[in-house]
Amino acid sequence: MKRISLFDIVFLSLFLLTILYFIIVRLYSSNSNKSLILTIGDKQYEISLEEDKVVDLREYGKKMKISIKDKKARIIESDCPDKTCIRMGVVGSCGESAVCVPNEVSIHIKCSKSDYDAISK
Amino acid sequence: MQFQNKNRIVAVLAAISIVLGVMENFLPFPIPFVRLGLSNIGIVIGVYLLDLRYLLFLGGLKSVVTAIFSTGFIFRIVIAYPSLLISIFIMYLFYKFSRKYSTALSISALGSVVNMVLQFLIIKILFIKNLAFLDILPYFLLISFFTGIFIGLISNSVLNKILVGRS
Amino acid sequence: MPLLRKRLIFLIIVLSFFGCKNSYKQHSSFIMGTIVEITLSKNDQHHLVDLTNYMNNLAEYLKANIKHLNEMKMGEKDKFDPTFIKLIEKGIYYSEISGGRFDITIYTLMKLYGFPEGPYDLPDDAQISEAAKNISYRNIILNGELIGKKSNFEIDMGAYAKGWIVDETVKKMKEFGIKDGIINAGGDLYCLGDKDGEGWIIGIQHPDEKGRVISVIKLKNKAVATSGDYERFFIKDGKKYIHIFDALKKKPADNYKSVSVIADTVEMADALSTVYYLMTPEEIKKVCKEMKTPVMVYNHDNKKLTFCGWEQFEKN
Repeated sequence: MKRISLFDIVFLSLFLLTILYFIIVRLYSSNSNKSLILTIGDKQYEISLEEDKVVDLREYGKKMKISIKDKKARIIESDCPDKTCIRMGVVGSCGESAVCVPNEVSIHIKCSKSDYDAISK
Repeated sequence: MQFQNKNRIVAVLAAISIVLGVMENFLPFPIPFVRLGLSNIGIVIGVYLLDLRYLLFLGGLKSVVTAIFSTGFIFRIVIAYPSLLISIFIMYLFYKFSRKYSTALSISALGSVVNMVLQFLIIKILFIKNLAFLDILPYFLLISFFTGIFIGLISNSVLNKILVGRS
Repeated sequence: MPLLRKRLIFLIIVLSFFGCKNSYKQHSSFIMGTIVEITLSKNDQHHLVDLTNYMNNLAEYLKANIKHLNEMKMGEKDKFDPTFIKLIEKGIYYSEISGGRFDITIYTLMKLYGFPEGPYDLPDDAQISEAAKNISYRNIILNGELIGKKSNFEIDMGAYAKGWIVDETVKKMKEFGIKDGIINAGGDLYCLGDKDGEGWIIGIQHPDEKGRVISVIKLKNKAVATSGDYERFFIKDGKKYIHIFDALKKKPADNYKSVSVIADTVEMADALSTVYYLMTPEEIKKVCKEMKTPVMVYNHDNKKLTFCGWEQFEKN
């Protein structure tokens, strides 16, 4: 028996490539699949977390502002009376959210895979 | 080869596998749940020397006895026994179809990866149902691919010594 | 050829993992003054609009009836829908379970503080004692189709109305033939089906740290609801005033950080999480046995107390 055959080389490299392919798919999906979902009434909008910016919700008819920084988001301005949404602070990890009930606006982080199907609070 | 002879081969290979397997329990490996799988040297050599019936017997013997000498007997046996037997079956098939071209390297790498997949499946089905399966599996497959090649290299050189003038 | 065959087997093994994964999609929208998250499998997505409309209609229905009742004066009575009367009866039922600490007429007082939506402030003592006179579920007179008011109370069904709406919507889902899904109305939720045998994994939010959970449970055809001191509150002069009121003490309660209840209906889980919030641990232990509802209490010392088999639902 040979030390290594041509067949081995072909087979093993194909095998290795398949495994690497899965790893690359995995890496790619974990980095890019975090996004901010903005809910206004019953409409939903997806906002990228990649670049830092301030989103003014005036165009949606709400007097609110959301800031996005370091892949995290927070409501920084709102005309609602209770200001709970501002107090809810920064949302950054999967499933976290901040909600402004009077204005019917919420932001939450959507990930490709969440640990829980739902959160009771 | 005669019946007697095969029994003897099983005994020798099982002894090698079990000793290496138990020994390996004491060798630290940097990644949890991952080991070199030195005990599989006996199995890979067995693929070349035995037919399927004896091979499965060897695998069953090895996984049961190694489990007895390890912590978490039930856990080990439930995971290791079926996955080893199925991977032995697959290695044997692969050997049958490709023996003219392949060496123990391919067989060992294949067996190692298939074994890892099966162990993950069993853990997911029986123990941790919400295991983030696809998230970590590829990394484990990569590791088992290389440990498989390592085992294949060792088996290969052993086989080259045993099989001199035989094939 | 052998290579091909082998690779094929490997590919089949790997691909079979993808096959097992039935995918679910979440959609959120604002219904009845809270954010409602509906989880359905990809195949059931087309029911989403019907379900949200249905919930909106139920919310409107409740709002109109409550408004009508609240606008009635002391001594007046009027005809109401049997469904609404049944809900009032449920409110009275939960009041009795709680020994009067839970009371739907407490809204008479709560609204003086600005609940539920703010702006919040402390009412003065005269206002409080005036409101206190009107509070008691015993002042609601039920007679056939009629509801009468023995005092100038106003009601709020916030503690269980959401739950009722979710329950009704779950019935609708079953009518549509939907087997698996979740309706989560602001943290009070029902898990329909068992998610292809896996069970739904639900996290109970940590009261102090968003993004952390204090318990993870697995539910199949069950409801869970949580009442806590962290969702709606305001702080004035260093003191915290939360939206859960004790009707006997006639002021905001502050017994625990949160109380979660597992029950067969969201209405029950929802109402009991508030009822238990107003009780001592010993009382909870007694009542949850009668009601057969697992409970988890998270107290101010950051300790988890579990009663009536909560642990059996916990997932390790």
